[in-house]
Amino acid sequence: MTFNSKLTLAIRNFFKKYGKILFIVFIVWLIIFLFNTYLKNIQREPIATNTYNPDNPVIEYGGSIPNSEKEPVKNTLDTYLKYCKNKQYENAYNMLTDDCKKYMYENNITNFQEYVDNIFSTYNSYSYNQNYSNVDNKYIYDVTILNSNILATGTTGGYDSYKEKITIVNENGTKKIANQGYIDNEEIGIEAEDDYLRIKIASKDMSYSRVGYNLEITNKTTRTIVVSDKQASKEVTLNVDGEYRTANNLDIENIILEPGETQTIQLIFDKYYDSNRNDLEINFNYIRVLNNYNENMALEEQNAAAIRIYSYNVGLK
Amino acid sequence: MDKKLKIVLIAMAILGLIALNLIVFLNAHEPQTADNNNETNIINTIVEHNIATEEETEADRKEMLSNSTEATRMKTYIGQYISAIDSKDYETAYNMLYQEFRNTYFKTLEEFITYVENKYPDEIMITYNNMEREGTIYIISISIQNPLDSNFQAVEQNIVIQEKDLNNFTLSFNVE
Repeated sequence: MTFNSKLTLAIRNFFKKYGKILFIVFIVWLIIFLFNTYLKNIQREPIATNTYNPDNPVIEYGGSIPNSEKEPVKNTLDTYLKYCKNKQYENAYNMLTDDCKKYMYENNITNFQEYVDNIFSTYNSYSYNQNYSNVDNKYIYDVTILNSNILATGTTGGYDSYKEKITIVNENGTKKIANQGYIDNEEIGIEAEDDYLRIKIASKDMSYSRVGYNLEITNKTTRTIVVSDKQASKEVTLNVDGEYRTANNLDIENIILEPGETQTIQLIFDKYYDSNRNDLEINFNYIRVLNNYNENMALEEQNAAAIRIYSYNVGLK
Repeated sequence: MDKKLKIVLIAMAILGLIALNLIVFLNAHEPQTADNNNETNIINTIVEHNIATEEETEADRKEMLSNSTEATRMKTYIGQYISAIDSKDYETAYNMLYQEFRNTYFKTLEEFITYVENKYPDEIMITYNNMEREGTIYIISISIQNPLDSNFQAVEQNIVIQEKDLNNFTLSFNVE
């Protein structure tokens, strides 16, 4: 038998034996092919891809805003900004949280009005928002405010821009605003004392990039006590998971307690609200209990006049 | 059946299927027409006026723009605006301007024509210097030059663009 007849016979036998399988494979392939062709030819509306995604948080740690909250949060922010732009001071002020009104504006709408007039300097202001971070059901936005609608001016005469963090929180079931980076106040209620000092930490005010501990500190002795007067380094620090941060505002303020005196102070430390790190203790690192004191005393003189120099840590947990 | 023949036939069937799939795959991946320029090309890139041909449909243009980066799309829009001016189609260019901007700086088409004819050279070449974004608004700094006249003092201008949708935009510029 020649090779050609062998080949013909073999092909015939092959199709006799595998014809059905091959037919099924072919039909399956044909269905897939037709389906692909159909999908390829479906008319789709082209859309523009943009790098501006205002709903995607810049800091991903806390996750995105839940879908059910997106619209109410957006509406709250848009309404607040609209009131500010239109100089509807009372409407905008009423949208602020109680903590924000108290901490940022001393419960005085006139202070808020000054802020609005300063930031939203013209009725033509333009603003846009970027979700920045979401922590504990608090939605933090980076809001940029331009002093003009640049599309209307074409940037003729230049333009200024200003950024601040605005947080939307739930207060008694209503969406409220905390502006200028402020977030909220949290009660603490910690008390500590030794033979010389009594320290009460009542609360803390949290902003996006810092935390302010509200303290009441009492001198229990009949002598002057210097807690901080800028003469030593790191006189008061905050222990954040083992990292010691110096109080920012003690560069300009002293804590010097006369005999029996009680002072109410706020100690401000750098700390990002969404850093997910714990405040462990406040450290008073160089307390000087002095026999005599005058404000011109150098550190060496204070050391010589001290009946006790010590450090004291107040735990925050 | 001879075992060798059986293998040859199965191999032929498989190769046939692979060839068919390859044809389908290659057809589905025809070269894109989109300009995928990197955004870094914005700086000091001389614009080639990327004007749509008469045959190009709105749908084709949208498809091309949808595959482009924001920077490329903005350059395309500026190209359309400058082209309109270059070809003295002032009304088209005027209609691209943001309404409030027009109302403030160019209340009539004639005012716009006077400005353009005094400000821009007869032959226009533009160079991109910088691009910024403020929310949904883009600010593109350009230099306008005359490629045929080296003595022409380049005009520095900010073009402010908002893209409402693909191939649907409005713009303004600093009037100085």
